[in-house]
Amino acid sequence: MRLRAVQWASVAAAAALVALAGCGGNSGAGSGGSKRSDGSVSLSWQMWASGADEEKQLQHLASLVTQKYPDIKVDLKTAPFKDYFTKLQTQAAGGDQPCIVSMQSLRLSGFADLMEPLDDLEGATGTDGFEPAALKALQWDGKQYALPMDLASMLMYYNKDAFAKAGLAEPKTGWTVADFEDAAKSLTRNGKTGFALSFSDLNLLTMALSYNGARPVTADGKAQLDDPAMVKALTWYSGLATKDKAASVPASSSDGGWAETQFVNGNAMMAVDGTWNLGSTSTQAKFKVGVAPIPAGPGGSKTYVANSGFGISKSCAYKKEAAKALSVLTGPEAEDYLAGQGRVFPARTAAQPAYEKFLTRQTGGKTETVKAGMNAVRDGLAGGVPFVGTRNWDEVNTLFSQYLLEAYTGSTTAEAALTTIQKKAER
Amino acid sequence: MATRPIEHSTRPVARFAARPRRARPGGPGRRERWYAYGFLSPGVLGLTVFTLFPVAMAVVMSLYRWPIFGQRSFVGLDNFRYLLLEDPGFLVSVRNTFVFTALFLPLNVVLSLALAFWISNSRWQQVFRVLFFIPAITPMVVNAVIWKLLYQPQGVIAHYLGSWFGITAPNFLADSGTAMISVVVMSVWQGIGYNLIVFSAAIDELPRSVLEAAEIDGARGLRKFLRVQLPLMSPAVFFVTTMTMITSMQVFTQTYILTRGGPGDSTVTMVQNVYENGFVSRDLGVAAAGAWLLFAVILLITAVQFLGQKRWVHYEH
Repeated sequence: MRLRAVQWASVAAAAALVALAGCGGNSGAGSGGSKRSDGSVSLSWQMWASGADEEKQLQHLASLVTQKYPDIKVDLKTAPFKDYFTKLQTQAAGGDQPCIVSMQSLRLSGFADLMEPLDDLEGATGTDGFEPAALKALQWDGKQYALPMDLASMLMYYNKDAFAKAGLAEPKTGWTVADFEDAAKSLTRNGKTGFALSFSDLNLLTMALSYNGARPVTADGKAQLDDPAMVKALTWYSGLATKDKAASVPASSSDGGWAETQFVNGNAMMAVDGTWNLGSTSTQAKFKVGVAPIPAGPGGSKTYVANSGFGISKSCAYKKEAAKALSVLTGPEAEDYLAGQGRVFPARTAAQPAYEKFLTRQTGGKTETVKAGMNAVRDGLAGGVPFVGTRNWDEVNTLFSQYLLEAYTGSTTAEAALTTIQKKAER
Repeated sequence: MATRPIEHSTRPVARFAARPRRARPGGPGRRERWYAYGFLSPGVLGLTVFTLFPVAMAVVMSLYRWPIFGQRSFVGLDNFRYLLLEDPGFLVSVRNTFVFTALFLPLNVVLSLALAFWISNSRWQQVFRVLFFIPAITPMVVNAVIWKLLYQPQGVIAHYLGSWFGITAPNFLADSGTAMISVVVMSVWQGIGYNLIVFSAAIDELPRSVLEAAEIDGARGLRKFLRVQLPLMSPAVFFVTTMTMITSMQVFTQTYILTRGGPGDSTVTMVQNVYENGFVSRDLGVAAAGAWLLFAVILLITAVQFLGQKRWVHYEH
């Protein structure tokens, strides 16, 4: 009797294991889409969103697709930004990724294996009307993997009130690294610092790019963090804290948003941040916010551009329909709508006035800030370099946060930190 | 009513007692047995689906090169070889985990035991129990975020060190000399409440007659504590050290939020190494192998603790 029960139990357990193993495998028929009996196709689209507003905006985009192509329905699924890429990874591991994938240019290198190059989908999608830099940022290995939704560059945000109080001339187009150093030093007083250091890739590497043209990654996608130019640039950058004492240092390796937060809180008078925070920073700060291009080194002011867009997953069974959906999700109407809602700095040139209008409204008519911001963005885009990471860029970012902190606090040199990061990134 | 949580928290202590195994005459009948299976099956099913299956999967995965995207291939024990011989990060994480445990475990046990004795004579014992238990039931993430604010260069701790003692505080979490200590201090504050409840219950259950006899014989103070009270409480001490050792070997949340392993690799723990291999480097095979090594280490230490208990743990029942 007892034996039989044990046998039963083990049979049941084995059956459960087999059933589970079945769930884990890819059925092979493709994922993320389904065809209904009436011939219409339903495509899943995964995107990050925070809050009901953003969700509503995206739903509107999805409905635009069905308006234009009644037999395509886009089924939107959202996740908070911080979980989005983990979720995408996990889904990919289980063979269950969405048909339409939202992708950030910075992370494209790591996810390209998952996505279908759009060039292979013959004539399905057009690339007219986009800022060239926006398209370029979403290419990897010479292929277009996603169509852009927005476009962002880096700016120097500065505290206008602090500059006025110190009697300093405000930064403007054409200001140099030397001007920036002088400003940072004279704004450092009473426990506040002129600048705040960051180990977020774009914020940090843009300064290096403008300082001496240092590039973290070779043209063929390999890390070169111990390159002499990069060592020189980061020695200068950490020196702003260790030598000049003019910049605050992140309090821990988990403070990814240190510089931006210190700036908004009024503890640092300048910080590098992306155009995506123009609206929120100028509303949140209790002082007048100014923006200027990144200070120019010998080669002029430079910035990286980065953006997000939508692509199609390799496993999607309805790629043609997905391509049609993409053309609407990144089409003129969708871009105009998102720009007008202030969701993005649009990747389509024609939609940019709508964004400018939004910013003016949002900042309570601070037309001057907005105009300067838009000009700085345009300047930046003119000299903008699309940022392309390595395949393991997430790893490199983690290493930045751990090892650059040691260079910033002065417990090691920038060269030693970069050599360690390079060694670990190469593995 | 007030004694219920105490009973509950001492139950695992009793479970550790070595019990004689023998078939009991007049055990459950056929019908009862089927009832038992019926009631057990949801639990067993849950255990199978959510614990046994993942554990078995982890064994399989540890033998494969198993990237999140792309082709899997069988590599035998190569993932283990890589972790132990090639990956400089893994051994560092083992070292850090041991350093954490070596600091956290004694501090936690000694402090919670001392606090339990201290509040056992207080009229406000119940109030203190609740107060000290609050950090234990608050989500770890919340605790860690608040401590991160306290540790800021211009935070509360730095401020009072400066204004009371005139000491310039280090940048606690950014200095490799203080980062691990800072994590330990936060963890002790968080973990003390649970152990305090266990010790507190054990103190309440100390047999009065034995204590009185000891006092009549002249045992006082430290002597009474070391020779009478502590031996009587040894099952609770054993339970607490074993459980605390296991949780401290698995430390992750605090370090991840406070320091994310930095500065340098000074606070990367074994679980963070597993997490990063799996979800940052996307190599699930290496991550599974790391998880198995962690399991082996914990199993080994726990086995040593269980073997050692014969020498110093006294079960009266």
